[in-house]
Amino acid sequence: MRRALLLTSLLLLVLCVPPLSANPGGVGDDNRDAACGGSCHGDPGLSEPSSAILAFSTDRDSAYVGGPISVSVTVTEMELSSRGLLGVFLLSDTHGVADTPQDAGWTILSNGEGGATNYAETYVLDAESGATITWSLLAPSNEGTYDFYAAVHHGGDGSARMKISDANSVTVGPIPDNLPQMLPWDAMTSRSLGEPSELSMPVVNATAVTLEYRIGDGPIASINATLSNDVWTATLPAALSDISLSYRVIMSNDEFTETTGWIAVGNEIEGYSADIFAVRLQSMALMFGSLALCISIQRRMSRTSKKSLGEPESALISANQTSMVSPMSAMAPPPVVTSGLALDDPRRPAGWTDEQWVHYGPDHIKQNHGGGF
Amino acid sequence: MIAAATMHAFSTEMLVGSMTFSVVATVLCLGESILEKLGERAQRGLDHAAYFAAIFSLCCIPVVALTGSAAGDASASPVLVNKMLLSGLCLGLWIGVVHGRRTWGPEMWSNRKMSFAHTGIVCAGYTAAAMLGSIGSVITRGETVGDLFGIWPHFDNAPAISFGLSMVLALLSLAALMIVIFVQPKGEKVES
Repeated sequence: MRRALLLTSLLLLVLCVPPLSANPGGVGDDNRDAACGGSCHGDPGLSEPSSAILAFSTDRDSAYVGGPISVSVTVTEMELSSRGLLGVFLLSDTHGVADTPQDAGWTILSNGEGGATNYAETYVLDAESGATITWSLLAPSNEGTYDFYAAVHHGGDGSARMKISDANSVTVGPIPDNLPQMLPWDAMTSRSLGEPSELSMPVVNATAVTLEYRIGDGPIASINATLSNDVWTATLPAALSDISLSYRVIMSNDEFTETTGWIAVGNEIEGYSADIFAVRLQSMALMFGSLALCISIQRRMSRTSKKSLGEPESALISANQTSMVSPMSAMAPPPVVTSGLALDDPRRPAGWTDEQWVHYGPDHIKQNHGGGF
Repeated sequence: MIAAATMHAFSTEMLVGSMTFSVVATVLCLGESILEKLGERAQRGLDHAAYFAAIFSLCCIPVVALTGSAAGDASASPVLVNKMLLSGLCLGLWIGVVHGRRTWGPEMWSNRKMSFAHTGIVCAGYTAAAMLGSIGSVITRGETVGDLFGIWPHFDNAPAISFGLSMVLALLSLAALMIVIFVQPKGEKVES
């Protein structure tokens, strides 16, 4: 009966294990394919559908080959975990392999979160207002109609959840003659605090290039870039604190004005750095120290245990140390003659060698039997 | 090829499983030495199970530490630095567990003080391993079961100790270990 009760309790405990919830702390911004967020969100056995509403918007109806465009994805009405973490993908397909915008030829200048990746994580305060992620892109080098998909991974009500939007098409058309254009460019998406940043922009067909920047959603300030050696350069002022700065490039000539999307700049706060060899030494110190403590306690307790048997302290000698007393005993005269102790004395403790009895026997008798041979 | 992180997860599971088994068997042995409900045979079996599980855990610890080192760059993360430090502590305590059981023998359970001391060291070693697992969980999942306790540390900060001082600490602790091993009288098996 008792066993049955025990087994039933154990089985009930197993049933009490809560369902899995993927990576509730997120996995970090990166370039990820549709299925790369982990099977926890995609596996029907582990996840539940998301009630999120995904809305696309772009800053222009179409883009030119190699031209800029901003794509925003607004997510609302989703379930939220206690952390309120939301992961948003911008995808060019939903195959699960090679389906990032870069795979389709797009260049991501910014994900609006201080990086240039197609997957970005953000925190959501409430599902009603949701979250918006804006990607600033440069179009592929081939004309055509390109599809974008948005996907979200999030938690809520104890389950991992996922949703993929319908396709949103963007037409990439031929470049008009004399259109100002940004050549392939690695936009600055992060920088150190307290240092101004000089931006070099490979813009062609432009007679004027202006760098606009803003802090948060504040007023827009502009800096005129200067041309030297076919590269336009402008300097962004230094940030003295961890602010949310974003900038865009406006390229113009007599006929056209082209504007990139807003590119968010993350602040590189001085990171942690440790000397790995010093850490290894500290780890070794902890290992040696804790081991020394353990062995010391164990040996001391071993001695205490022997003492409690009523043996003299001088007899508390391990079997391995008997060799240390052997030469002395070899030099000593026969035990019976010198000490007056009989080797078969009934007071001799069990397990003592003849040498131990000869050397420590008198002490033992004094301590435990009041002396007298 | 299998990623180092996968091997780390695999070896960690082996380690934690065997260590948990060893701890449970050790605590049962202690309980039996106090309550005397299961009988000597059961206690002997539990003692051997705990001993061999502890040896297996001990073999796993270096594998876990090495695969963990290969899986991430500890120099850039205070959390990983704490993981390395706790690995050293865990390894030292667990060697102490195996050493204690080997020195005292299975009859140590007849001595109340030794039983408690051995179980204490086992629990300390397991706590270090649990903290290591907790850090791993915080890294990969952002949370840990330890949060249920409310006071579970997250180890977000690591001590900044220079190379020279680290070397001194390592040498001092090595000297302490040498003194204990070669100067302190050796322990003996407990006899029934």
